Amino acid sequence: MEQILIQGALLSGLYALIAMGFTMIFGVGRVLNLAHAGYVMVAGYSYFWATYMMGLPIVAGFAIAIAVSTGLAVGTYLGWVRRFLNDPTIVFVSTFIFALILEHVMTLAFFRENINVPPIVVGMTQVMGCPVSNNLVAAVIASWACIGAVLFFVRKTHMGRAMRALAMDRRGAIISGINPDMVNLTTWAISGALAGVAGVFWGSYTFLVPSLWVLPLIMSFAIVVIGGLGSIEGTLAAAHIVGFMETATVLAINDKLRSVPGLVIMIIVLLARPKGLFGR
Amino acid sequence: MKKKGLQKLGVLISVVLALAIVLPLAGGCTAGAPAPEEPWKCGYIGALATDVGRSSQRTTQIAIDEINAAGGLLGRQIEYVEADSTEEPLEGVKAYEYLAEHHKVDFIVSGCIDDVSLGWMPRLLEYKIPTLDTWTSAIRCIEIVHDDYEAGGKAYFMPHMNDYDQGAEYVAFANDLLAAEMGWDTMVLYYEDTAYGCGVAEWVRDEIGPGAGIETLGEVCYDIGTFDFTPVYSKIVAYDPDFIFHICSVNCVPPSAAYVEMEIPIPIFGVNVAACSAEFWDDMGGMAGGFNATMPPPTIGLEWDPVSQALIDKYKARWTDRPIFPHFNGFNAYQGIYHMVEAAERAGGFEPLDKWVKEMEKTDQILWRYGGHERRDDLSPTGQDIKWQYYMYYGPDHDYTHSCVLDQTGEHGRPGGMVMQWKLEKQDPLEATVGIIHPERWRNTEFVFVPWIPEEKRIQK
Amino acid sequence: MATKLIEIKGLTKKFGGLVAVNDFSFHVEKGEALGLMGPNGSGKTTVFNLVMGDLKPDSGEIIFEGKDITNYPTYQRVKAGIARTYQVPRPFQELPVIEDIQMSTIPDSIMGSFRGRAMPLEKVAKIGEDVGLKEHLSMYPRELTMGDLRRVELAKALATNPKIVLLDEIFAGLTVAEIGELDTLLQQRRKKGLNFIVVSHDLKALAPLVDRVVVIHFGEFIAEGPFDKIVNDERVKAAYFG
Repeated sequence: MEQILIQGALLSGLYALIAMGFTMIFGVGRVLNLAHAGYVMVAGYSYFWATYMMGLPIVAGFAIAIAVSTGLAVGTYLGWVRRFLNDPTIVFVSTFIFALILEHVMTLAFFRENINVPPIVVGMTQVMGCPVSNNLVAAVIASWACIGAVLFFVRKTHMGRAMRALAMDRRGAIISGINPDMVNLTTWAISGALAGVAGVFWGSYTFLVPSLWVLPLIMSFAIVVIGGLGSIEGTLAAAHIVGFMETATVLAINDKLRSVPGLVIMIIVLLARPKGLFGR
Repeated sequence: MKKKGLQKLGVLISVVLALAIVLPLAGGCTAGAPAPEEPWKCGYIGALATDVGRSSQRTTQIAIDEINAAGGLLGRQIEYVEADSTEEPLEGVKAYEYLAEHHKVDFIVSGCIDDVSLGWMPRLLEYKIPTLDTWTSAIRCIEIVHDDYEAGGKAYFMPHMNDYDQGAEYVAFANDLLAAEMGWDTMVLYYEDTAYGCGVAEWVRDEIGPGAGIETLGEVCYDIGTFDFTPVYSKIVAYDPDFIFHICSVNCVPPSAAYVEMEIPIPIFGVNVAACSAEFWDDMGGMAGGFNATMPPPTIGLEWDPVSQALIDKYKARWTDRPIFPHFNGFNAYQGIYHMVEAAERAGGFEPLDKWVKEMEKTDQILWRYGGHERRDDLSPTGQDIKWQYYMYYGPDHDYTHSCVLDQTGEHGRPGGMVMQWKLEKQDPLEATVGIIHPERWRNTEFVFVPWIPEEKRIQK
Repeated sequence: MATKLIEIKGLTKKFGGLVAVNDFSFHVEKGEALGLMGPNGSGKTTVFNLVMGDLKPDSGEIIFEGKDITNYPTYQRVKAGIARTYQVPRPFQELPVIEDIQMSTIPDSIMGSFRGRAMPLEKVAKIGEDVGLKEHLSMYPRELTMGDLRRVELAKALATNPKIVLLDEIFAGLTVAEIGELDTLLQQRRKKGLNFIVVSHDLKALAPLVDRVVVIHFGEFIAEGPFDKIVNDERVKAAYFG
C-alpha cells in the first residue's frame, strides 16, 4: 500500500510533466500534437549523446536536450502546423507521422537497442519501508518545478494571459489585438522545452529506445482526455488518477495491464463526461 | 476549403504510403558481383536494426564474398539478398515469404529472435528451403525439426546448442561455481515472458534444483516491455535468496540497469544477451561493471582461433558502427554457411533436399586454437594445439535433431555455454574488460562481486 | 484624400453561390460617425467582418489612413487602430471584467510579457468606469446583464486605443434608459475625436449619433446621405418595407 502511494505519486508527477506540453498546445491552438511524445524521446537521446557520448556536464546535457526538443517543436509549428490550424485532422495525422519519422531517424542514428541513461542523481532511499530511486524523486521535483513555472507563466505574465485568452475564445483574443501566431509559437516553444525536460527524466527513469514515445503518447492522450482537453488543472488531476491507478494495477495485479486502467478511465470519461473532468 | 483540405490529406497519405513502401526497401539492396551464369541466391532474414540481426547479417556477407572470391559454389557465384523481419513474428513471416517467393532463394540464413523464428517455421515446412538459424536456441524449433523431419523440418539447421543443451551447461555452472564454490542453496528464478525465457526457465526449474541441490524460493516472470523494475525487484528481494537466476534475451538493458541503480543486494547470474555485446558498457551508460552472463560461445572475452580472428579482422575493417563486434550468431552464421556450401558442393547443389541434408548432417568441424582448420602443435606455446571450436549436428534419430552437439567434456572442443563477466572498471582495449569465469578449463579471470553486495551475502556457507 | 480615415473600395464577398457583399464602397471622414443601415440579412455584419479581417474579401480594397490593410491579419488591424464590438457579446468567460478589458492592452511581443507593458489596472479600471462598469469590474460575465455585457464589449474595444470603432447592434436588447446612457457615452467619445461606424436597427438611437448614413441592401450600395434625408428616400423605404 505504501509502495502504491509513493510510486504512484512519483510516476504521476512525471506523467503530468509529459502531458502538460501536450495539453497546452491543444488548449491554445485546438490541435493535438502527437509528435510531442516524439520530442520527449529525441530529447532523451540528445541528453545521452551529450553527457555520455560527448562527456559534457549534466547541465549542458539538459541545455542541449531542451534546445533540440524546443527546436523540433518550433520547427513543426512554423514549418507545417501553422498552415493547418483550421484542420485538426491533418495536424493529428501528420504529427503522428512525424513521431514515426522521428522514431525511424533515431533508429538509424542509435539503432533499436535499449540504452540506459545513467541516473542524474544516484542511489536509493527507503521511504516508509519502500525502496525509492533518488533519481525518480529528483525527476518529480523537477517536474513540479516545471509545472509550477508554467502555472506561474500562464497566470501571471501577459503572454500567459494571452494564451489563456486564445484558449478561451480565439476570435475574442484576436479582436483584443492578440497575435495568435506569436502566442501559438510561444506555446509550442514552451511545450517543446517541457518535452525536453521530460525526455531527460523519462529516459533516465525508463531507458532509451526509438519507440519510447508510444507509451508516453498513450498516457498523455488518456490524461488530457480525462482531465479535459486543454485544461492544465485537469491534466494535473488526471495525471495523478492515471499514475495511481497504473501503479496499483502493476503492483497488485499484473504489470502487463499497466496501461489498461488509464485507457478504461478514458473511455468511461468519454462516455459519461465527454468534456473531461475539468473541461469547458 | 473543405475539398482542398481533403486533397491535401490525400496527398499526405500518398506520400506516407510511398515512404512506407520505399523506406524498408532502401536497405534491401543486393550485393555480390553479377556472374555470367545464373547465381545462387542466399537470403538473409533478421531484424536489421538490432545488434543481433546485424551480427549474422554482416558475417553472412563476409562468408559469401569469400566463397565468391574463391570461385563460388560449383562454379556459380552466390548472390546475397535480405529481408527485414524486425522483432515481430508477423513481419518475420512476411519477410520469409518475400525471400522464398520474390527472390526464390536457394538457401536462407536467419538471425531472427525466437518468437520470429517460431513464426516462420510453418513456412519453412511449406517451402522446404535449406535454412540456417543462427540466433535462436528455441527447443520448440528443434522439436518441429524432429517431429516433422520428413515434412520439411530437415531443411532447418541450428549451428549452436539448443536451450536444453545450454541448460545442461547452466546446471554445470550452478553445480561448480554457485553450489560447490559459493555454497549457495536458494535462488529466485527471474525470467522474461518470451518463448526463450519460459523455455530456459522450465529447464532451470526442473534441472538446476534437483541437479545442483538448489531450492527455488520463487519465480518472477516479467513483460519485456517493462520499464519500471522497482516492483519486480521488490518481489525478488522479498524472497531473500542466495542468488538470482536471470533469463533474459530481449531488452536486457532495462532490468540490468535497474539492478545497478537499485543496488539490489543479491548476486545475479544467468543469461543476459545484452551483456554479451561489446556495446553493453555504453548501452548501460557506463554502469555495466560486474555483470556476468551465461552464453553459448563464441562470446566476447574469449581467446580466438585464427579462423575466427580472421573473421573479426575482416568484420572490423568493413564495419565501424554497432555492433562493433559480432554476437555469437555472427560466428555461427559464418561457419554455418561454409557447412551449407560444402554440403551443397558434395551433394551437387541444394536439390534434391534429401541429398543435401544427408551431406549437411555429416558436418564435423573442429577449429584448433593455434592452427585453425589444421592442428598445429608447433604454433602452441605448450607444444600441443587445443581443440577450440566444434561444430556437429545431431541427426534425425536424436531428440535434438539439427542443433549443434553439446560437448560438455571438452573432448571435441568448446562447451555448450560459458559465463563471462565484465570487469568492475572499464579498461581499453575492449578485450581486457571482459573475462571468462566458467567453465574451469576456459577460465581467464576470477569472479568478483559488485561492491554493493553486503558481506553476509558473499560468505560461503 | 487626406481627410478619409477609412475607405472601402469595391468590396465583394461570395459564400458559394450567394453574393453577400457586391462591389460595395464607402468611406469615413476623419472625425465622422457613420451609420450603416440595411434590413436583416442585407450584409452589414459581413461588411464589418471584412473590415476587421474576420473574413477575406474576394475582391476590393480596404484603405486605412492611406495604407492598404486588405491583407492585414485581424490583430494588426486592431493594433493599427480599428476595433469592433460583436452583436452577441463574447467576453472571456473565465476572467473578471477588469482582466477581460486589460487583455486588450497586452503588448504584441514576447519580451513585453515579462516587462509588463500592458496597461496598469488603474487605467483599465478608468476605461471600465467610463462606460459605466464601476460596480462590475471584479464580476464575471455570467453575473452580468445584457446591457453590462455590451458595455464590456465597448470597454474592450476602447481599451485597444482605437481610432475607429465598429459598433454592431450595440443597442439591441437594452432598456430605453440603458440606450440613453450608452448614447451619451458615445457622444462624449465622439467629441474627443473617436470615429464610429454604427450598425443598428434602432433608428431613434442612431439618429443623434451619426453624421451620415450608408444604406446597404442585398449586399449592394443603395444610398447615402444625412440621416433625415435617407430615411425618407424612396429606395430605402422600398428596401425596408418591401
